[in-house]
Amino acid sequence: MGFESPATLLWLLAASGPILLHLVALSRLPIRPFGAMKLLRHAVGIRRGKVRVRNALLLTLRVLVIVAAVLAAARPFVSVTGAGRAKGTPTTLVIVLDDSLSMRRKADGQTLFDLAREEARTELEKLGPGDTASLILAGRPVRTPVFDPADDLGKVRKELDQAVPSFSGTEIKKAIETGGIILKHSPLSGRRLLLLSDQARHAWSEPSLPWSEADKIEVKALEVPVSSSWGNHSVNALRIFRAPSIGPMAIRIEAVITHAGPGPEDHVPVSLELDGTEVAGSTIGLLPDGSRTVVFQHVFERPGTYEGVVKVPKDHLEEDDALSFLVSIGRTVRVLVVNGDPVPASYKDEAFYLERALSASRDFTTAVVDVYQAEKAGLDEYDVLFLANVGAMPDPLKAALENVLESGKGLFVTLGDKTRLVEPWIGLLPLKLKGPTEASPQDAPLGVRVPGQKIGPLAGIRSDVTGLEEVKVFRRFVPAEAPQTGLRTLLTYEDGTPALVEADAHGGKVILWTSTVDRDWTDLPIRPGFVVLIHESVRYLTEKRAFLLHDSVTAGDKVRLRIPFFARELEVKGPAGKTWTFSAGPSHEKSQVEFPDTAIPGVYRVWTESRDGRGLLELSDQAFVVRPDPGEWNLEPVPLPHEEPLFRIGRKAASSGRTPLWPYLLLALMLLLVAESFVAGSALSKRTNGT
Amino acid sequence: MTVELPPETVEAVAVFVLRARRLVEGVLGGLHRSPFEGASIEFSSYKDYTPGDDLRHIDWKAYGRTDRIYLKRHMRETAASGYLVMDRTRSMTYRGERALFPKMEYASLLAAAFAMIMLRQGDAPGLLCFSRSKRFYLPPRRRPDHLQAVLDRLALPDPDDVEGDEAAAHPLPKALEELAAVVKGRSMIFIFSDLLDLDPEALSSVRLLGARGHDVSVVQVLDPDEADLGFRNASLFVGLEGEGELTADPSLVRRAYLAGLERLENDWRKTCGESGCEFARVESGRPLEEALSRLLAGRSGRGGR
Repeated sequence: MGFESPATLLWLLAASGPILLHLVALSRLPIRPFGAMKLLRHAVGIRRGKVRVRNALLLTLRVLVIVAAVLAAARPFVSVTGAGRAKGTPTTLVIVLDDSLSMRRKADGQTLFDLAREEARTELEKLGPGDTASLILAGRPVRTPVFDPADDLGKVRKELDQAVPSFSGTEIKKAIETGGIILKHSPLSGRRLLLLSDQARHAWSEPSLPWSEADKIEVKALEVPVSSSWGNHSVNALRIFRAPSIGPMAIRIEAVITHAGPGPEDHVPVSLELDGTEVAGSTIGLLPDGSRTVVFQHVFERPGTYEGVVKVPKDHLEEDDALSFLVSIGRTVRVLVVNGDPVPASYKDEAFYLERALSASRDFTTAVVDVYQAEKAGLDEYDVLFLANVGAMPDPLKAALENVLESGKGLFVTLGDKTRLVEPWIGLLPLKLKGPTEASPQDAPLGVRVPGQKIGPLAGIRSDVTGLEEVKVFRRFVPAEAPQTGLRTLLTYEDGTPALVEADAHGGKVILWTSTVDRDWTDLPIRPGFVVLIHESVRYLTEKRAFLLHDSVTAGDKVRLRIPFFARELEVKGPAGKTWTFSAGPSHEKSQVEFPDTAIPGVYRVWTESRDGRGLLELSDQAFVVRPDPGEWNLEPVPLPHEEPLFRIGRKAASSGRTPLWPYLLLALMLLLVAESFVAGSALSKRTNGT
Repeated sequence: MTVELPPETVEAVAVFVLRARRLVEGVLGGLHRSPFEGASIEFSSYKDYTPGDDLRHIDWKAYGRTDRIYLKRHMRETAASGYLVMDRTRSMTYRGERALFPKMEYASLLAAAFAMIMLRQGDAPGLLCFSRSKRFYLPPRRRPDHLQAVLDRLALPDPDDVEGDEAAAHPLPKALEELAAVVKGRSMIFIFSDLLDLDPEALSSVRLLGARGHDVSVVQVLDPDEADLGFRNASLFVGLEGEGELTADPSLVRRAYLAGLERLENDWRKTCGESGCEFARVESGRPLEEALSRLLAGRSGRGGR
């Protein structure tokens, strides 16, 4: 037996009302001094028995009237489980409990998940010795806390108690199929599947049941009572772009607001908050099953990483009424290209190709100087230096170069016919070179290989856009001896010799391309991957971004995190201060880890130990946002599944499901009212007649 | 010893006396016959004829001489004494919403009227006030100033000053026994009491007085609430004489209550009838004149003794 509106039972407390009123009335009786007490006492003595019986009867009837009314209002029912559990028939019960985001919807102060769990507990109570039960959670991904049917029902109850509703979507179909597999292999003759879901339209599709009628599997789908409206609006998606036309630190946010409901919603306020402060707002109207896009534009005053959230008013499902994002705004990266071999013909000039590649991004500001101008250019002003086919350098320039590296900035070196291997700055890398190699018309050019595990700047480049595999190199410098420790090879030639290498030097980072960046020795500058390689190299060397929209993943998804070469551990700090730690391994063999625990929406930031070991360094570009599943927005309940032919299999589905008891209670209530009126009326007539 | 009464008491007494006099004048003016007239041959005085007077007492000779009709009045052979026995227990202080006066005041006004009438016709009124803790006895006197003493005493609000013990007997039988001991000759005795909570012993006391030849009138004074238990709602009833508390719904016990009251009245009527005494019940919700007229008419019907 259960109640469709159990919260109404709280009104049973009102049943004490008549008793309390009676007691209060007794304590507040008018006091009458009276002379004929002997006569009165005698009269009371004669009538005492009848009066007591009448009062008790009246009180009882009034209490019962209230109890019956409250019970009827709570809409009690008796669960009829088809054939039910026949006496002596051991039964396997598979509980499929929907723990998706939409089950967080509130009705009568409780979430639908709580109500569903209560139903599951009730069904478990009906099982007896010899019965078994399994538990499947139907949120994405489907989980089976109790897969093998357990005769230890306490274990199932415990798992049931520990379950919490997620922020992810639903996989009803997969969950039912999993339940079918469990039931099909159950040795017991009674087989039941209990499906507890809000049956929201967004998730409901007819699952193909992996059993046949001959399997005698009984399906019972319970409707979770929903007293609240299923109408729901949500911030369903965010699209965020830079808005350079407004300013260098401006962004444009397009928020998609969806609405599913029986009617339109007017005057829905939508607001934008940045770092907890509302900075913009708008009001929109929403049509049923429609969506509207609200556009916000914002100009940041200073660089930084900002947590933003777009909000609509809270409804029964609060969790999808706000959507967070994380954006990093920085100043443009200043790049200085030192041209070691300026020539009038652009196709022979390394700086020409570099400048063209860098100008493709608004994130970079590029300046090109020759070696002698570089001395006066003020290297400290730049974040990244490119040395393109630079030969001898004045000593002050060499010293300035070291200072640049010591300040943590980056250096990208390309070689060429002007490069002199005796120059000290060549020794910044733990690699001794020789060459360049001579190219003859007979020699086939060498291709470039991208390693399977991309590191450094290549880690940020998608494989399908690099085009680096198609690069051909005719001349190059080659290692004079085996590479030393500390050198990281990013790209190799077909013969296995390093093409692009990287190392730490004087606290900064240095990348070396062993050939030219003009078309003298290679076709690299005319390959599409060149631009991407240069851009990512700059970002890698400076670790600065003019604009970075951090990843936004759906709750339940996994996130890959990069472990910097210098880091031994990675620490992830999530919402509510929860932290996770990942180790790079004793020999730093891991450069990536998979972060699986994205159950809670919010901002997750990534930290590691700083290079000097003196504190924590935030890896701001790896911060990400977890959002609730955007697919859980249409909460319109689909028709009851047990009324669908799909579920009428086996012995017979619980087509009635529940037998309502409230009509009987209403009948009892009427009878009680009649009885109460009769008893009270008889007393009234006695009063009226004065007898 | 002279005791100076408080002004409010003096005023209350004056109001009481005034009220009693009006009562007597109003009632006697309408009576056709004097209630306590004696039968004797000794001429006493003349009285103007009033319609309804016994024509046998018309002095036709005087009519012939003066052309006016006079009635001859005769002295009784011996002047009679009248005793007013007043119940002053606490139950007599009750006054319901429908009552004109508390029972005690109602009874006192009636007694005062009786005293005035007795003195007018030469009888000597005496007074016995009793309660559980007090007795006050004023012997019968025929002097005119005696009336003031009687009225003063009747006017004093002097209820019982102690709560009664529910188990203890009502003081009426004892008071009547004491009265029987001091009364000499045949006398008129008027007992004013609510007669509630009385033991059967009280009936015996009245029966004894009747057997001794006294002209006994028992006047039961009840409040309308006591007469019909007319309360509407359940109440907590508190005994005026310390009988404790009792929760009762009058609507549910009224029938049994009225039956008990009727039984009580019947017992008294029967006892009084057998003893040659008179029993009358008055309600303090009715006009005093009506009550007094009824009592006097009852006496006239008896023809004096």
